[in-house]
Amino acid sequence: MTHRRSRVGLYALRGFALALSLLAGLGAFVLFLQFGDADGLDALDILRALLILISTLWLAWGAIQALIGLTSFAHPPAYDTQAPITGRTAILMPVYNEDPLATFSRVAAMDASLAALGDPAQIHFAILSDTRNETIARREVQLFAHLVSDRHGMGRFFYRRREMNTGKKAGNIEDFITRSGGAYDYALILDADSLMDGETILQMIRRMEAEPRLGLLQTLPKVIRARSRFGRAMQFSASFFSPIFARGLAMMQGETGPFWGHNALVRVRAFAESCGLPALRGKPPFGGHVMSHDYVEAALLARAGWIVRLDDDLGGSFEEGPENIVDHAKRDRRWCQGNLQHSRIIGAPGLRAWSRFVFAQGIMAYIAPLFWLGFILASIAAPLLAPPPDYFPEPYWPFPYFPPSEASKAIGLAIGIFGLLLLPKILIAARAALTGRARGFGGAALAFASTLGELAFSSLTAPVLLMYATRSVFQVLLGRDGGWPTNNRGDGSLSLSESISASHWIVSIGLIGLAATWIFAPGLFLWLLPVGVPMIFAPVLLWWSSHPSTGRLMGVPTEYAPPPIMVLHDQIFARWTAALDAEPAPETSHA
Amino acid sequence: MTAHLLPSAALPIDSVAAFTPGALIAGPCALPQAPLAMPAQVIEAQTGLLRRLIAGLIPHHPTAPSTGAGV
Repeated sequence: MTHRRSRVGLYALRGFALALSLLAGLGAFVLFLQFGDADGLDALDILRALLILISTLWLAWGAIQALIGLTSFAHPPAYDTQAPITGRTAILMPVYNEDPLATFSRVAAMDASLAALGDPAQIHFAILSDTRNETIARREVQLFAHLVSDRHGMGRFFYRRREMNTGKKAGNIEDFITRSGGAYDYALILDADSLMDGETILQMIRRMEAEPRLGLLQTLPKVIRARSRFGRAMQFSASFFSPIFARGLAMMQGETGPFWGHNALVRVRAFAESCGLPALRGKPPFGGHVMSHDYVEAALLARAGWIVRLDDDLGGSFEEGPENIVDHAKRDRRWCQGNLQHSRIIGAPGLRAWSRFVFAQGIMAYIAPLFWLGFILASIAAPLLAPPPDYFPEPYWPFPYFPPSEASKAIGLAIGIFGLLLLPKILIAARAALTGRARGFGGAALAFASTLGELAFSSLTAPVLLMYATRSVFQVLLGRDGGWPTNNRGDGSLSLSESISASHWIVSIGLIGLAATWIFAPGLFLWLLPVGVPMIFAPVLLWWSSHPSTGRLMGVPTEYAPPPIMVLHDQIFARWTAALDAEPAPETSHA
Repeated sequence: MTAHLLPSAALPIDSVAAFTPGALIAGPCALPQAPLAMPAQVIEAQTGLLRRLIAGLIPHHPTAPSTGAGV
């Protein structure tokens, strides 16, 4: 009965969120029609109103998710936090051409963190290499030996490198499951830049043992160690805003939660039974191996009746992020292709309705910029197609008729759209000040200043990111496969010439767009300056944002008081660097 | 849970020095052999959305063969 009541509540919440988003979209649609009707409605007005409807609906959906998240606090499920762990767990770290010193030292830190707790749980580590670069592969072997020796890890640490990286990361995990999955009850899937606290890992295992229907448990990883202006803005956003958005998501998803590909624990049997991913029919970008496999695996687990849950109350889960816009755009290109590929999977038989909705959301996240772009282009073209104003509509009437200005409608619409963008973040800052959460971000005043700083920064970068996203969508639609570039996890500073070569086309589009607006729709010129100016200065923006940021603005708790696992990792990294600097060159043979 | 004995579990803890890095990953630190089947799932409809919509609109004789999964 309780279960049924909670399901009714869940559907009501989803319905409420959807209805509110629709209402916002329809409100924008009607306002725009009224604005366009001032000089007579034409086809372009209706097209623009439809584009505004879709774009506003999408913005509102995100904003409402945050508003729902603001209504509650993350809380743990009911379970015994001290229960003895009976199952065996493998911690899987897939690597692909990453720096082994950085990745393996994270493994050592997690092992040390677990060891410090003294829990007798059986937990092993497996480094699953898909590295193609032979030099890096040799260094992996050397450093693995160092890792085993340093952590006394014989019998607990494993390494294998695949001959072929078929299926990329999903294929890498599948290879582990089919080869060794029978030896483990649970697998904690990481990324090469993941770092998780030992206590978090143990509690995740206990939660899974407490709920036999739980197939996957996702944590909310926080971005750490950002150095650049761009990286720190992303880090602040992920640390300050994302938990609230995630809370809203957790409240709406029920038992059909997300899998973000890493920092998540899976029940190996459930994963093996449900998540074998065949290649899609046809060639990439839409066919071939599933690129964004995580969403698909979450949907398949839910289809098989397993619970997929986001436990956003769990801390101690970290990852690193891109340090500049170019690296962000590269990663986004991969995700764009992966999400658009889901258009082939969304109709798979037997999927839960929410899983299909999640696929649709992922697709929408990447095509939404096209709607804004379409709206801007249609607005520039509209004056060309509009009939000339008729000031004497009545024959033989000597006085001119001036149609009433509906500019207030356009201004109201713009305020509404900016409200959807700004309000959730302002409210999150206000709640952080009231609950004391802002203390971790340097106090209420600094957290509020950081919020304003992040809003200004994201407003500046949004047009540039919009252009990269648009290019990605067109590349995918034109059938270009983006491949699988390595994540650049280094310093990330861009030179001005690198910035120009990465964004000269954005400058050209910005200049042409503003010139066209000035010529064809001068009334729009001021409105489009916030979009056009950042595009024209894109190289400067790329260059400036990739450089180190040292101020207290956008400070996060992990900077003010690094958690023990970060301190542990720093110590191990420093010790290993010193030890390896003293060692002779690596041997030439490898597995 | 399989009562699985990992190949290197019985090795003494300080035996790592006896192996070269290459021998280590080929021997005691190679992944354990404990295969688990991972059957390929059906992740796309056999027919496209448009064909399914059209098939849904066209009346079928009750004894006619199915037009495919998900139709």
